[in-house]
Amino acid sequence: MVLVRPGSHLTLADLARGQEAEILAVEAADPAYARKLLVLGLVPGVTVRVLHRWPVHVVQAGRTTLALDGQLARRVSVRLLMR
Amino acid sequence: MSRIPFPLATHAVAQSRKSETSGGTGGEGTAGRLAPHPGDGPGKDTLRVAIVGCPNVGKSVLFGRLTGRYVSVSNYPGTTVEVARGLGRWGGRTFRVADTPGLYSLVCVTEEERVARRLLVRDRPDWLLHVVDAKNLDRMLPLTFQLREAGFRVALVVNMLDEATAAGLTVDVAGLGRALGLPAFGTVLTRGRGLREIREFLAAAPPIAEAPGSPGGPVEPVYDPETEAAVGALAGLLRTDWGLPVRAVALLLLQGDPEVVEEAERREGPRWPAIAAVLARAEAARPPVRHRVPLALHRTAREVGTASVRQVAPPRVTAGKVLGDLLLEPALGLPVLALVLYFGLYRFVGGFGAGTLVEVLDRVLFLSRVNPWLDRVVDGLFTSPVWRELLAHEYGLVTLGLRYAVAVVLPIVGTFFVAFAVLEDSGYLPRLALLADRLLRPLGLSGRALIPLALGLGCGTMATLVTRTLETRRERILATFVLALGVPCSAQLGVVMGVLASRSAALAVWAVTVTAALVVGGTLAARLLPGRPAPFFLEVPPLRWPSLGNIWHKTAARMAWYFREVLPVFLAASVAIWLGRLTGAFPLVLGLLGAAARWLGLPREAGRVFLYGFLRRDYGAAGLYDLAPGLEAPALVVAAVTLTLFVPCLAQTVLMFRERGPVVGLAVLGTVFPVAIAAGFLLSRALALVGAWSW
Repeated sequence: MVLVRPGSHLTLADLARGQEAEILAVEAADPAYARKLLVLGLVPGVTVRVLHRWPVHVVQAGRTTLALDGQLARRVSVRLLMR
Repeated sequence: MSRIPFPLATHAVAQSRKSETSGGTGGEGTAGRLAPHPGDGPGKDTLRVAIVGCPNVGKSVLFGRLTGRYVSVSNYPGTTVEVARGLGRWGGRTFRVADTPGLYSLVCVTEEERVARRLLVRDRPDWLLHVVDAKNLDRMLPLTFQLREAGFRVALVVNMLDEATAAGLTVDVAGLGRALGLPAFGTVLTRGRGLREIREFLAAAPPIAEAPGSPGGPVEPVYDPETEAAVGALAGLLRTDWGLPVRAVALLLLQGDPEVVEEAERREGPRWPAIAAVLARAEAARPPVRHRVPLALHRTAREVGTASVRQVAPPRVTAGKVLGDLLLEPALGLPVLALVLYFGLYRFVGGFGAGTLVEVLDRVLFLSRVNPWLDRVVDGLFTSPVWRELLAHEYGLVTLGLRYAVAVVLPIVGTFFVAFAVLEDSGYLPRLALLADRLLRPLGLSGRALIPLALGLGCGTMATLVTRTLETRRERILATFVLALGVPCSAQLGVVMGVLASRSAALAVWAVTVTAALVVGGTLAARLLPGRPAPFFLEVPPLRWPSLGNIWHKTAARMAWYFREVLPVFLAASVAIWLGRLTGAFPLVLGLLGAAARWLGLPREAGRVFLYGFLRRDYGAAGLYDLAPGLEAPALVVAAVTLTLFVPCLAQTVLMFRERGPVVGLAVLGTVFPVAIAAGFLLSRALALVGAWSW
């Protein structure tokens, strides 16, 4: 399981409301924030569901609801899950 | 190695003891932060307990339940940067309990986390009570492993079992404890469930001197061989006493914790190049060791969590869940925000606190009973006007100092604290922050800054302190500036509302002018200050019924803090005015400010209000109260606007300099003063132009 996967294109910021995705990686350009997102439950392998896109991104990861702005959401690469 | 994008805060821990070594850049606290605190050994009949865990898991509730009262009252849960300490007594033992700020991981990102970690390392408590949310064990157990690796003795408090049940989960607390090899307690702390077991356990628990560290459990995080090799290499190089097991220090270093890296460079001296070489190798590994450690912790936590938590029923749809989701909808959240502001702030704080309560205490109690009575008593006792005026009459210690503190400020600030505690405890505040993120962006602030800004509506001094919880220095400076410029504190707000309430047009003009000054000033500051906007992220807790007991605890603690801080300043201000009048220094300053007031089209006495407004922002506001009956509506609005935007009170100024340093402090003051006078001047001219407008 890797944290950085430069090849993947889709990020949390690209998902529509209601879509589910699997977290692939949290970019580490900014280690402190990457770590924080990890601690808040955005761990590779976890499934997230997008609750809102505005005014900020709100996602459900496990039993945690997390709000993050576009800047951070773009750092989380995901794989879209079929619904 | 890439650095985190914000500098380490260098100010001292709020309630820290003296550090053992000196040096470094920020005075106390930079050096020797991680050194253990020597001495202070407890006896068998005293046990030192620290409550740890991430925010919103019920730490302060447990603290309140164990200690019964706040002894050291400086705790703002959710916005905590200081440490609350209290005493409890049961089972023939005394317990010294510390409530630490929210800690997500031993690898610290925020100032709050650093405060918590320093406290643990320095105090070496006999036991840590790690409070976790039963619904989110996967996320919370990594910290449990870290605390054990760091040599602490940990007992697990699995809280909010009621919410877990509502989510359709059963939690095998005993099994969890066995898997981890730790004492574990299932609790619903808000209702006191599970508390007896914790008390009984602590009454019999051995102090740390007899049994250091927690034994390993059957389930331990397993790191890959490359990581273990790096840990081993570092352990051989770390020779100084860190107050932590070398393995724990090595793991913190490998995860790139900036404070620990800096400390290692400083204290391991000649061995630092070798340490840096190990760290560089670990960083060059693919994936870097920095990422492997937290992932290993999470993997183990998930294993343990999955084994002890089972989904036995579908999640119950509770009213709180439905409402909590609905409030995230901007279409509903924004109107609700308006209602909350109207009822919580305008009606409850402005109407009930600043109106009804102030009326009763000030007019009925002080002005018509206490003051006339005291004037007579003092006149009977002293013949010299010098002593008469120190104690009583217009500017006396009691008739002005105590009266403003008790009768004008206390009811307003008190009602605000109640309203704020309800917002905090219900879980509404984070939802508010989320909605506010976009609104605050132009000011260079993230939604997170809403918490200090909202607190600024209560007390600017306290809010300036709480800007510490913001993550970048840039955001802290911008928030401090906005607070100093024009976020009116509850005392100002209450008085302005009280004075202008009967003239709604005047109130509207005040609100629009102050908001405009804030937006223009804040936007310009954000443009001028170099740097990037802070990223925003926030955990959204479920909506909960606030517990009355906890609201009472918090409000009482904050009121006590405020009163301890406010009363001496009020009394000192009375004495300063008395001295100023006695020596003739005041008339001079008053003459200058009076001239400025005339220039704004205000009576000379308004200058006095401005001066008092600096001595104490709310003091000046209270002075406006006395001035109001003699003023026309336009002049009153100009006075209110100027006073709101005028330099912050003495206490806030002092704190601003302490927190942000002299350069930022002077820059803020130097900006705020001309802006306030200019805004007042422009407004008075504008109002004169539309003078025909009937109020």
